[in-house]
Amino acid sequence: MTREYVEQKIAEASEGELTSSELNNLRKELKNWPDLQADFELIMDLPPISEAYKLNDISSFSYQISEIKHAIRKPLEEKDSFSEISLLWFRRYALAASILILAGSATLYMPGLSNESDSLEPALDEWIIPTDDVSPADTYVLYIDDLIIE
Amino acid sequence: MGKPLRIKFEEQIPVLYPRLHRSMTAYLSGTGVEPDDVLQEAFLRAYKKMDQFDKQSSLYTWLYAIARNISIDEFRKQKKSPFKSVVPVEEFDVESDDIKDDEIELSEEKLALRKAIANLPELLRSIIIMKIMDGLSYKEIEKVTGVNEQTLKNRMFRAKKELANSLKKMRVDE
Repeated sequence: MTREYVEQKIAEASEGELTSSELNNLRKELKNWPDLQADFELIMDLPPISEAYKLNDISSFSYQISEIKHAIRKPLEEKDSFSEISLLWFRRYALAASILILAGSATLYMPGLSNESDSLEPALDEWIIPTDDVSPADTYVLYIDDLIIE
Repeated sequence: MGKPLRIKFEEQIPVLYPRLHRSMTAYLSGTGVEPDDVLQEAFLRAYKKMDQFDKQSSLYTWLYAIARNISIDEFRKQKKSPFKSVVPVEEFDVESDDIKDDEIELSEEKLALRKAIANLPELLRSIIIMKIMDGLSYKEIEKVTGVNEQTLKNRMFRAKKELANSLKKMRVDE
């Protein structure tokens, strides 16, 4: 038997939940656990714990019970404060509002289709039509020419 | 056709309240939290959430679980350790203002037992109250606490051992 199992059996014994043969077995086992044996004796000697607090008559609580009944019968509308109603409506439309805000933000930052072709044209021109800037290829050709002349 | 659940619940309030009041008085002893305040809130919450009651546990254990959770929330709000009385057992002296009407005629033994229960940590106090005062089975306590039966029995052992040692110490100091 493990220590935990013996403790569980002591708890059951203290509740009167063991048969007489189970109780005898426990007492025999406790000889192997001297400290638990001492705990067992102490626990079995406890006064009735249930008598520490008595169950009061219902008449002692007539005010509290009538308060509870009054509170649960109060109409639902009276319980809702302005803040609760506001929160209720906010939750309902928060998702729709979020989507609208996101869509609106997206249109501000996304480039328009008509502008795209405008921005592309100058780049194409630069590829097809030579600019005034001298390219390295031009310089290289001039250098070779100079060498040949020399 | 049976009565609606809310109507049945309302009819049960006079039966449930005294029993829960005893449990919460023991559970909240020494914490400064009033059992009547906790129970008022517990019954209202239970009524509002009646559609969530699964009927697999009794109405009493369901209410007890709600009241216990409210109490724990109150303890957190207070930001102090409510699970043990702040006064060590040997210095626990009941002042005249602390004595409630029903305690005036209590025997010394019962008073000592109340002090010892109040000084238990919350986990051990819960099991003592639910099993011994309320007479709940370990299976029912499992549903309230979510803790398995074997662990509950080990806690019961520890709770009773601590109670016994507290009472022994109080007797020695007399």
